[in-house]
Amino acid sequence: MAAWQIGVLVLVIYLGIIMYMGYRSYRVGTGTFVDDAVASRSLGIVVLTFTFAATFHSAYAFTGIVGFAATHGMPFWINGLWLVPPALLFWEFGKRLWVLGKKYNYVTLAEYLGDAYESRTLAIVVAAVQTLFTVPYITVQLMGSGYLFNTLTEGRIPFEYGAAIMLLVMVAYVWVGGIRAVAWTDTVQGIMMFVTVVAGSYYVVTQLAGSITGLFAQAAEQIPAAFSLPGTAGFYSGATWVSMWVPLTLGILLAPHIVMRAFAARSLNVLKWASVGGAVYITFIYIFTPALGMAGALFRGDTPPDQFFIHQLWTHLPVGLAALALAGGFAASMSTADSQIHAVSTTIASDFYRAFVKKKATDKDLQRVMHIVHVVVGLAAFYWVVTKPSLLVNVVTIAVGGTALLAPVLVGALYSQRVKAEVAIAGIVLGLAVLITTQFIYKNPFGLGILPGMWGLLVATVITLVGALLSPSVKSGKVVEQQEYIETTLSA
Amino acid sequence: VNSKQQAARESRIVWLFFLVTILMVNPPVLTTVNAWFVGRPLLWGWPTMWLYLSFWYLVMLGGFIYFALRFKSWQAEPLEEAVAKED
Repeated sequence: MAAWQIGVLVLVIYLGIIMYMGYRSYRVGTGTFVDDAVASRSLGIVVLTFTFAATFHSAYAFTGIVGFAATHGMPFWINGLWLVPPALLFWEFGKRLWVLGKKYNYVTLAEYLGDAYESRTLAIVVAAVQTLFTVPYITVQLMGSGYLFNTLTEGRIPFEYGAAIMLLVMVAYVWVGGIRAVAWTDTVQGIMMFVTVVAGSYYVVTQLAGSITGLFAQAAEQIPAAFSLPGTAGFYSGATWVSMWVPLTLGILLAPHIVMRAFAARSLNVLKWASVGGAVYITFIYIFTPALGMAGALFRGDTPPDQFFIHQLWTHLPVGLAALALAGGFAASMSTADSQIHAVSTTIASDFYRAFVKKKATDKDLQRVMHIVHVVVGLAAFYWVVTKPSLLVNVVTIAVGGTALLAPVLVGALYSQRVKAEVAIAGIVLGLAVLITTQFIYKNPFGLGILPGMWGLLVATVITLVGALLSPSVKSGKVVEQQEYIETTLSA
Repeated sequence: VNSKQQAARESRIVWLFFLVTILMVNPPVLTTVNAWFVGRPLLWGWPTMWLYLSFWYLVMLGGFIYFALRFKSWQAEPLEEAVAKED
């Protein structure tokens, strides 16, 4: 049997297991919208930990971060700043969202914020921002899957076909099992991803350089700039460092497929330990990545830095293990893309359809909308895989900075009684305008080295703060009622 | 000390702890210790910068686990009882 045939066989077995889990999740589901959206708020510690962690880190764990380390050297470990802090914030904001979700039956962030600010316009702005910046990411994950498929079949099957197969499988199990299918498959995919990244990195490095410390010694001699700021490519000034991690931490956390997890926990205890478990997972998965990055910098030759790890896994591992490792890569892509498809469909069903089209929509109506969105979003993402429009690249570039703009609005709803809906909307819209302007038109204002995401976040924060300072504190209304409820329950 | 005061005190400790750990891995502290990374790129055979950052990330993680285990205001059972009572 040829290597690529063994690879395809392993992949088929992996996809079969994932499909079976999707089917099992359908069998235990209750068939309601809340069950499809947040698993009837029933996810336990293990499943929530893995679905949080595996969704958080995507194909990036196999491609982007290795390219990052190979290109910039040790400053790549700025990544650590968007590992533990988001998990802490997931607990800090998440426990409040969980309490409110349980009382008011919220399933999305937009639904909560619209209610807290008593503004349907704000709800639609939040939902639009989350949707707009999530769909292009599905395309990116599909491209990652397509490339893996192409490697696995040694170029026999075009990458678009691979992307299409992954998409079909994902849509099928998200369709039948909703978030429960996503979370269960994320658990298997998260374990595969962790083992593959940790063991695969170690194996590749020792194969190429003999030992990790030997590799570092060689790299320190040949590329000393990789071992301190501003890094090999001279990219990291102090301003760049801060302006990269702050919007990324908030932007990833407030992406719909991450923040919605807070509504799905069975209990606060589950939410707390899933936050801690997620932090442990995402901190340790990259233990050998600095060595892998240095191996990439020294030995990659013509291979693009992003593709170095996958290429090395396929080249150095025995064929069965190599196929398993690439299946781990599929797991990384799919664990994020399935959550994104699910989150976008839930957001559109809940925040657009139920809010504006049919207020008394039944569970069946909402599920039908979710199913339509699965297909439409899947087709759109696949169309972009094939056409690769430059707009896609532009949207992805500002995506995380875009969702980070929701942070001042969330903080205002949870901790302040002075932020008005109009101010919150102005913060998001003007922040977005500044983000787009500093990304594409007026780059690097004042030569400070501050990245566009931070400019957008600064503007949104200043507008929200000034608006709050100029407004009197409200004495009644939904936001007061909700904050009093949080205060009563969380200081018990 | 009532539960509200204790929760406020614990909240201050948590935020102060994370503020200090985050300051240690950001400018100006990071740009100051960067001279050490330049002069001594490897420590025990591993990149000094990576070890320094990893140390503080592990301190953050250790603090997170400690607070989850020990802080009363982070214990979920009484909060869940309060939620059930309010419902």
